[in-house]
Amino acid sequence: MSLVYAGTCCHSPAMTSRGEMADPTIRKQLLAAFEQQKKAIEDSGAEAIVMVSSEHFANFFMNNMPTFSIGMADEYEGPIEDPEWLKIPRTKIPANPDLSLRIIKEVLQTVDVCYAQEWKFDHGMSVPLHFLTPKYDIPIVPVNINCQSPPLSPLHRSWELGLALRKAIDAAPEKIALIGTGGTSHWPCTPDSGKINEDWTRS
Amino acid sequence: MSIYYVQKLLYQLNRDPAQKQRFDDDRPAVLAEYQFTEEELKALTEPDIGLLYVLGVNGQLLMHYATLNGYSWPQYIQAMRDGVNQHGPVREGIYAMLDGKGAV
Repeated sequence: MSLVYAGTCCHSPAMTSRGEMADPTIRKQLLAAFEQQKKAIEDSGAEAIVMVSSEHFANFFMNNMPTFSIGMADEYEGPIEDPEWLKIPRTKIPANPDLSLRIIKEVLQTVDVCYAQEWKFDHGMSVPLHFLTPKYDIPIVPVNINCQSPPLSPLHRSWELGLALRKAIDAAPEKIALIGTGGTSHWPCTPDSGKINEDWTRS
Repeated sequence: MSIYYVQKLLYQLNRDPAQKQRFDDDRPAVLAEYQFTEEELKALTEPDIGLLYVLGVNGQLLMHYATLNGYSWPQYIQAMRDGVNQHGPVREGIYAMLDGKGAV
């Protein structure tokens, strides 16, 4: 068993770019939760992080949109957004292409994924990393699910991707943390931006 | 299909600093390189952020175009609400499944 940590978190760019607009009490709770998660990842001894996100047209576009993709680059860079807007400095993020290769090969046994040897992180990766590994000292294996541009993956296929990732991670000798990022109910960049359906999300 | 090219332009402005520079220098020349309907061209040129939202441009692209045109975040949100009031519900894309009325 090499999965040493599994967790989820939000990746909203508002947390860094417009943090001052939030209720200070909620902001404090949020930062405390991230600190707790950061410590849990450190305590797990994770040597790599598999981070699942929904990409937002930084690398993938509707000319050739992969439903699922996994990064296999020598290194990553991010954020792709204006660093002054996101308030996260642009930086290099370490990779582990050999681990990526092994994970991709294992996942392909059951789920068709694309691989990408170039990948610029957008806020979906950069915001969680800013809070969870601010020193950028743990290699990342990025995984993307197309959540932006229909037709989207049926939910049961995303479930299968999760099962395949678990199997691939457990087949690797490294200690690996798996982090899913994003929101299960929200309407980003629309007039409903900022709302969540808390009851639905908790259920 | 043509909303594809609106989104492609915005994608390239985000992704390609050279294209962004060309757009800053000569907007009409860059806009002429894509296939737009008259309504799309008008929405991009004015710009009418609300109409672009209603036409189906994904907000992950549109928010950056709004910023590029000097919109603050609250102005961007308001522009989408105004767009829905003026032009009706979102016509295609992932937001077409929303009621189009926005949050209270």
